[in-house]
Amino acid sequence: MRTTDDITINKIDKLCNIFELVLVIAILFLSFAFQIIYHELPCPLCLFQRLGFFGIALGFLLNLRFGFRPSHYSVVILSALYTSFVALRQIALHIVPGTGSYGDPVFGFHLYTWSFIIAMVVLTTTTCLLSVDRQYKKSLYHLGHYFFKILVHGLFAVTVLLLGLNVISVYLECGFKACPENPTGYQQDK
Amino acid sequence: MMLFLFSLMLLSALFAWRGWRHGTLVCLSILLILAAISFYDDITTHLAIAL
Repeated sequence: MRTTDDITINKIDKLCNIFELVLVIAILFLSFAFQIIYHELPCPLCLFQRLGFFGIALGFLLNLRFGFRPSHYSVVILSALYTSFVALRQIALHIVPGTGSYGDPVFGFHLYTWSFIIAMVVLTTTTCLLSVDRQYKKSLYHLGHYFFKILVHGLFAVTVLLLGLNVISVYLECGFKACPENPTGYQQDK
Repeated sequence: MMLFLFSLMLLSALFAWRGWRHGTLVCLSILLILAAISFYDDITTHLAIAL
């Protein structure tokens, strides 16, 4: 039996999931745009962070595609934890004065610092979203308009396209070997 | 290894899009374990050089 409150909570949860997903997709798009426009090749730690962000995006996409489940939120939380660990490791590498940095700063922070901040924001908001018990009701599973379904498929298409571009870029940068610590150019060009 | 991890992520995204939830979750679990091992490997290599 679903009530008006349940439907409202379901709509708010969907909106929160879509908002977080769009945020993560925007970050992934910007990092790829930085790579192409400014020729800033990603280091292995940067690639690990991208992988973590893709994991976060996939967790939210699972929620929107199959309905809200704690297992989908756990994918988001584990991926955000992984991203924050990798970002923290990269911050620690450059924390001592005089050790330099990797890449140019954006709004005063380097990309790995932003990555850590965003992973923490995602972690906090997702933990809050996870605690709303009413969203797991099975009667709310098929609730959704035609526009919503088109939107979810559109978001899937953008994520898969970005992932495909990243696979090509990783192949060009690293090939089948381990990625270089400080990449200066694409391996396949040499 | 990095290429394999990204390909696995692409595969799990395609599984999710096509509606195979269990395949996606299994793929993602394997991916997260492999990514954690790779990251651990990266840390230990740097520590070995530093020490």
